[in-house]
Amino acid sequence: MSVRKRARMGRRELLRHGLGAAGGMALGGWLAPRGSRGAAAAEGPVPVTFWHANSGPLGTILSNLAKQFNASHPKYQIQPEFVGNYTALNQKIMSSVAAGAQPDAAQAGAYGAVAEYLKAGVIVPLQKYIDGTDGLSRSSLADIFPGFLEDNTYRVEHKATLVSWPFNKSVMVFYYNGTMLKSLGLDVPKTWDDVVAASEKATKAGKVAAGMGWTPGTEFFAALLYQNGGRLLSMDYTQALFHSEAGVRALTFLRDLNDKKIMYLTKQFDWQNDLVAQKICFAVSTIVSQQYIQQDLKGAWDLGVAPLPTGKNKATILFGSNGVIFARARPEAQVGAWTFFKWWAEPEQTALWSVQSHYLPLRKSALGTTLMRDLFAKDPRQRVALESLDYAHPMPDNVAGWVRIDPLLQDAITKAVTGLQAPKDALKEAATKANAILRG
Amino acid sequence: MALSQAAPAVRLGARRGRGNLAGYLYLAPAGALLLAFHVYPLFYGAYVSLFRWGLTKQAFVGLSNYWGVLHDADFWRSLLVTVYYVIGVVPVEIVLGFLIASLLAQKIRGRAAYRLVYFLPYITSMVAMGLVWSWIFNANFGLLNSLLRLLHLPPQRWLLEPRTILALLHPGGAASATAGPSLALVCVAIVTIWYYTGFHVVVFLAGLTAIPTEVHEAARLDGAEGWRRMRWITLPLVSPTTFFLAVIATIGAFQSFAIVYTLTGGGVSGGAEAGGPLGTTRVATLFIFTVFYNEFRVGYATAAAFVVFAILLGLTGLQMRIGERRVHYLGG
Repeated sequence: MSVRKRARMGRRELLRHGLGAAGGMALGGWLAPRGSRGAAAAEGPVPVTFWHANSGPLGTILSNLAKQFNASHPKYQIQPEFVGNYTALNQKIMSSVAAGAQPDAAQAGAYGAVAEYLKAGVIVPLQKYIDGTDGLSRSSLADIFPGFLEDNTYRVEHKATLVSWPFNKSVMVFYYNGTMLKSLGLDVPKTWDDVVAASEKATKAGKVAAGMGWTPGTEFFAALLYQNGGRLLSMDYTQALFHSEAGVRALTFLRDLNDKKIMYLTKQFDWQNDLVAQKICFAVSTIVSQQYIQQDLKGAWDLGVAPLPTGKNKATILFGSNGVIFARARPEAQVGAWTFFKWWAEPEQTALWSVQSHYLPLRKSALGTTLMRDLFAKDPRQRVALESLDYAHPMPDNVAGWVRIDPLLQDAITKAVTGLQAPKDALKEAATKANAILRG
Repeated sequence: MALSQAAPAVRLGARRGRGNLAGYLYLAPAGALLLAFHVYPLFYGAYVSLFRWGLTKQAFVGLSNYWGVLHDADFWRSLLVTVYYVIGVVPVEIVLGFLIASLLAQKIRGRAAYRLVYFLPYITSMVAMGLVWSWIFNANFGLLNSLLRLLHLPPQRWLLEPRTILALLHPGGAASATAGPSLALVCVAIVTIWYYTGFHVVVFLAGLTAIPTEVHEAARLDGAEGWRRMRWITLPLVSPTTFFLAVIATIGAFQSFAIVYTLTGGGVSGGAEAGGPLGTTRVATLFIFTVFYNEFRVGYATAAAFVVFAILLGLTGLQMRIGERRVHYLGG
């Protein structure tokens, strides 16, 4: 009851806002600039709180863009607030839901978070705004990279629905020590065979302890699985498929890399330190990692970024988080948040965000902006990530239950790579448990 | 008490009332905090545990969360890991704490400096500590592995090793939770001991200095020296302290979270790796945390928390009963 009342009041308020603004503009146009200012000041801009997990320089870039939005949209005032990493952000959102004090909008980056928020009814699916009068045209929507839309699409009442909005997206790429490759007379590896050969050569030359360092995770396995022609889950999300022939091949390959000391296993971000310290010469991670690697590197050697080496097919994995709007937010704040998301994805803004943060631009047309063209001319490496977008797959975070499957798969990978279980058995065991979760 | 009993009944009531009021007023600030942050959450938690509760309340399910927890192999495994951890940590902490305290109770030069050194880990930031120990235990370039290489021993994978110590000594063994603690858990236990021993030392020092010197002197006059005095005077008279520490350390180790979380990689991305490798360091609190925050099963996690609470309550009750018989209170 109170929610409905609130919604109605909100709509009325919204109308008043709209009329006020329109009236103000009319007055401003015909009478004096003071008229419009007066109307706006009386109502004041609608504050829209936005929680995010972009620390340090990324957070500053985000805040600056929000300021730009506020300047060009006097009706709203986006208030970005950094609340910690994705895990902390999710914890804070969960607590705020329990306390009934959610923000108006937020990034949702933790595994399966959006699926859970949706299930609990604490967020508003964005489809209604996309279809609404202030929404996006079909062509504008098609301009957004398809993987980003897939990543945000959920089944709501048996209909594919855009629930969240791509916000800060990245993709898995291949990092290499360019200086070292040059000194060894090696080309940038294009296939995994190249990686193995180059790693052996670098190790034999005594340059590194191993080719690659890797902290076991499901994403790299998933990339190799897709490269081998497999899938994580069936198209209708009812069955695990990662234990297929392709999956066994992918995992066996990872195990062999470890056995042959082409790659060693690390913890958390240790591989990043090892790469900087030249204990390894290759690494696989998101395109945004270069921000942190470059910071530690201080120009000691030349960091190269290449598309993920290929196997049978080309494939890579999407990372990053999406924006959500909370159901408890006042309707005008919800509209404000949507207006911000929509603006965020426009070519100029997404290009600016991408150039400054190394996250990916959300639209194809952003690539044509002078901003991005200048960047590519200056630093061709930045093009790399975009090229791999054509064959990038999201992790199935939009599947309820994936939060519980991902750790199972992770354990299977660890067991196989460390030689505790054969890849086939490890994957099969995980798939059996995963299927039970998907059915449940 | 005897005086007030002699006073007329009415006055007694009034005086007691006024006295009580003042007493309650003094208790109020602490009481309010306890009510707000301990009692209320306890009852609210009990309420939550009776529902299917994802991000929000869904449906009343009675005791089925508890039923689920009691039949959850992962939960029992986390309890087993906890038991390994408690057994590995508590006795060592107490024995080490007592030994070091006994040495520091002697009149040696630089005693204050030693006391400080042993207490230092206890006041160190847990995150900083986690970073330093991670470096020591680093599987590829860590300090410990460098030492092993110097001694021509094979390097170990420490915090990344899910195999049990037995399996490592007899290669070919698999990582099974029932086969004993993993090397990773042993590493976590070592850091825990390193962290908390200083606290035990300080409390034991207080207990040791509380033993009246005349008891020791009397024993010495009777010809008791060295080990006999330790066995028949010091140990019995310090037993209230030992008992207190055993209870505190058991509860503490059972509820250990931050150390395990920091050392096993919590808070990186999804946090899914905390408790790794292969869940061999996933103690009960980490299990609850993971189910709560990563799997969004709030009601279920709360039920698991109550089961752990019940076990801990039973264990402490048992300790109390044993303690009653074994603990000697001076003059009591």
